[in-house]
Amino acid sequence: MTITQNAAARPLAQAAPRGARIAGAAVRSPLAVVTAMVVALIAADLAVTPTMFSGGHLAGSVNLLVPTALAAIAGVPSILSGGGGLDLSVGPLLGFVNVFAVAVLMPHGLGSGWISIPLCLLLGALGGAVNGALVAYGRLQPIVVTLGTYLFLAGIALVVLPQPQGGAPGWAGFLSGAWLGGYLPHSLVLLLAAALLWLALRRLGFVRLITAVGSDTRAAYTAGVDVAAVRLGAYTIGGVFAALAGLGLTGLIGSGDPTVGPQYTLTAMAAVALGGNALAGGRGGILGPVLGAATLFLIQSLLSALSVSSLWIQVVYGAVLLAAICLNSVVGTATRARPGAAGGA
Amino acid sequence: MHRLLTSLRSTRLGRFAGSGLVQLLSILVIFLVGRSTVVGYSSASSLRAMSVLAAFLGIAAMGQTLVVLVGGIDLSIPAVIGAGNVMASKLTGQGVSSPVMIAAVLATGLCIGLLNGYVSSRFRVPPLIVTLATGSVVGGAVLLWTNAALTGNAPSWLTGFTSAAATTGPLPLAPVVVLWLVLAAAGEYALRRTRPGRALYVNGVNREAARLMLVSDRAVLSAAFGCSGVCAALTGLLLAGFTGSGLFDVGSPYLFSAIAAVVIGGNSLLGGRGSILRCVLGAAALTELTTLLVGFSLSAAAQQAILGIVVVAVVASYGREQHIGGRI
Repeated sequence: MTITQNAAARPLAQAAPRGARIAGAAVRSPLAVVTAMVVALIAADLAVTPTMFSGGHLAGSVNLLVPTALAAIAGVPSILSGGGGLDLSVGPLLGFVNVFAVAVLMPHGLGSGWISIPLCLLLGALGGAVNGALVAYGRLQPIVVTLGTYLFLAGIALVVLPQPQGGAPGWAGFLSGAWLGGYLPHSLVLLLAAALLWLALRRLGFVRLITAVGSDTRAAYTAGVDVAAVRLGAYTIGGVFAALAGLGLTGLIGSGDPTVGPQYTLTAMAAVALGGNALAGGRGGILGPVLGAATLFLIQSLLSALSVSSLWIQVVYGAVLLAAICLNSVVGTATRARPGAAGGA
Repeated sequence: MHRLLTSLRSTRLGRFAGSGLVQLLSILVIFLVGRSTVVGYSSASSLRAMSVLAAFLGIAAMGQTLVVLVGGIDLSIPAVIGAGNVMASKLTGQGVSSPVMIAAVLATGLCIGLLNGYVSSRFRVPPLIVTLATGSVVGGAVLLWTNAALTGNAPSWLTGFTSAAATTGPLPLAPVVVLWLVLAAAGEYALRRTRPGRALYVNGVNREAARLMLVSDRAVLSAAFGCSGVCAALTGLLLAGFTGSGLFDVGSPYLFSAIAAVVIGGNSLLGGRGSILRCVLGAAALTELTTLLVGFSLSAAAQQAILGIVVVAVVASYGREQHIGGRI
């Protein structure tokens, strides 16, 4: 008995310093708080609804999560590019893509996925590029520009489609389905596409350029970076991600709805902040915001699983968001203030 | 040559924007367009109605201006307007006397604002997210309190106070408009001539320099957000007189219109540049513009789309930033 205990204890004792080092690095990561929250919330959700990861439930949850996660990703490049960068038009843009796919492309016989999806992505890129051009070359404050496009796109969506309308294209039906008896929802394809696009941009060095511009615009400019072109690119990529979110939304609701989109803007901004990205720019990636979106989603699903009144959900949601942001900041400053201390422990 | 011209133009325009001349000019142009295209646009009754609407927007935007001056943004304004609106009507409906009711409403706004300012500065969290979260909490709490229904009724004096047909003594303006202008004048004086007012600018221009000048970040942010909360609660209270009873989402149009008024007035959202005077002009111009779009009998959606374009176009005419090459 004692022997086996000792034998088991020895490798553990040897592993401890390395474990502590890894743990220290993990806590210092900006993703620490949000990852811990996601894990805790999944545990809580599982305790309340043990069937959460069963085939039937999982696909529905993932389909709900995908547009939010993609909207959060869409908010990343503009914020990362600094200079007060912020894209308020993410929500209306993804909503307009949904309306465009259902109310414009379908009646013109362009519902086939091979035509309709590229056109939707092109629309997203165009919307993002307009924002980017006004910010980078018009030299207007990003919040003003994207507030303008927010109002414009939200209004135009209602003009094109005053009432919600059914008749989504065939690919929307595919996106709401799943492989492997519900364990592998099709909507993950969109998230995968966004991740691949981001990884490709990282390999090409464009993400690094955005980060450089965001962390110190003047230094980047003096180093020969075409600051305006990089900003234009950042907003355009954000628009493409927003279009992917719009495709996800179309798959989720299976119809065209002009009023749903704008609600995604504030959720996306909250998810980006929760994910540990600096809202002042220059720091962050897309994994944090996706986890942030998952946190927001899990809070809501936990509250509704506990059959909390829908009126309470808004209160608790805001309180949790506030607490999480403060916690994120406290952990962030505590670990950054003494970089050597955690390693010595 | 081209660069010389553009820099000349931008500095001159910049100086005009600073003195509010461009804003006055746009108010005049919008008015003339309205007068020549919409029947009855320049009638006395329509001007009075516009002035009342501008007063509501102007008071809410005044608080937003102070927050913007310190480089923040307040997204909790609609929720606080809703809270003020519902509190005013509910308390009056329960027989609470008006002075107590007013004190309670303003104190609630102040507390929410102070919380916003304290959390933003203590935890160094972007105000955008903090006010988004507190707005969600306050909005939800008001929903719970009222079960999302119309409740209570406004005190009778308030209805006269905010009526477009009312006059203030010899002035042909509703008392709410006079209140707005007096508050704006007091605010402008405080910003220009008092110590806390200057501290707001110092903090907005350079937080680090402000710290070295012993201007406390926490005090300044708490004060700015506190004022914004009070202004929003006051707007909600006044709106109760306009609408007659309390409704939780009466503030939702003010989420973006308060920001748009601040921006159209020529205040920089990056902080440190701006004034309440410009915000008054911005609120007047925005109200004129929305009334004009209503006059064209456009749908609400089309109005919104056009407003989006106009906001960008107006700001492009005087709010452009310096080229990066000129900032080194």
